[in-house]
Amino acid sequence: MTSPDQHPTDWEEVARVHGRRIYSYAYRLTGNPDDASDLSQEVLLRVRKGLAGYTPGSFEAWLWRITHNTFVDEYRRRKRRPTVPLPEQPDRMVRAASPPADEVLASIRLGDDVQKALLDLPEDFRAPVVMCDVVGLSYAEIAEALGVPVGTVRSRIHRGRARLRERLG
Amino acid sequence: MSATDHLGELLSAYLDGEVTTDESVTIRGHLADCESCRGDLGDVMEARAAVRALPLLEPPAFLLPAVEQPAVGRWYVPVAAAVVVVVLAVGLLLGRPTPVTTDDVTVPHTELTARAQAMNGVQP
Repeated sequence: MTSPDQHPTDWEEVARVHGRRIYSYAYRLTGNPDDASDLSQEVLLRVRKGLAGYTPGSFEAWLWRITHNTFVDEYRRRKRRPTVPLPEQPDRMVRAASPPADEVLASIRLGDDVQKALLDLPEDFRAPVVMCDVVGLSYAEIAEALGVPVGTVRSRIHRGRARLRERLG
Repeated sequence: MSATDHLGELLSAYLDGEVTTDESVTIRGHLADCESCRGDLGDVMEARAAVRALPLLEPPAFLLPAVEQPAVGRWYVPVAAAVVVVVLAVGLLLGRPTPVTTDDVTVPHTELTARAQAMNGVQP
């Protein structure tokens, strides 16, 4: 993670360093690659505008507050019906190892099930779960990004995981 | 937390390392005696692991030009460098003093004649 004193100074660096996590967050929340692209693009535009006035602090919290607010503002406003997620092509995965083909196919099917289960979660649960387990933020950073107390984050993550477990069977 | 309370949302916080040292000790003590909470812990561990196993996704190339085309690799960088080299070279050629050649060292013909006659001991 970027320390408070080492925040990126231009949006291209933000895209380079955080782009995969931003896009993955958007995709996991929307289940739609087009919406994920649009949201990510809007996030980077807002980052470019906001960097000039950025005051040193928690860059992670700042970035993910922008990211989540973009989701709230844009995605909810022109919400498309979540589509059945496309199978994740192995060549699009960042964690590109070379497991046997049957393991790859099994992981894709499992990933699709998990994605569907995520989309079934209420947004209030989905966002903190994805921020924690996909993006890798701390509870404090999630709380700042979502504008809620840490105790609320803890509760939502736990309830979200409990529901996911029920959905996944 | 009383002895009869179950751990509830503390379980996820415990898994995520988001509890204090004292809470962690209490939680481990409770788990040792509570089968129900051990079951709940297993459930949230499975859900947590499933989401964490999702891969990070590669964004579309158009979205992150800096990723696909790092600044040093952009087409205009070598072109711009070549232009700078050409401009500098032309500037140097045009701006430097005219090269000195033997043709430029002109001595009046009469002087040459006088020098030759002097060397040969002939009075002009």
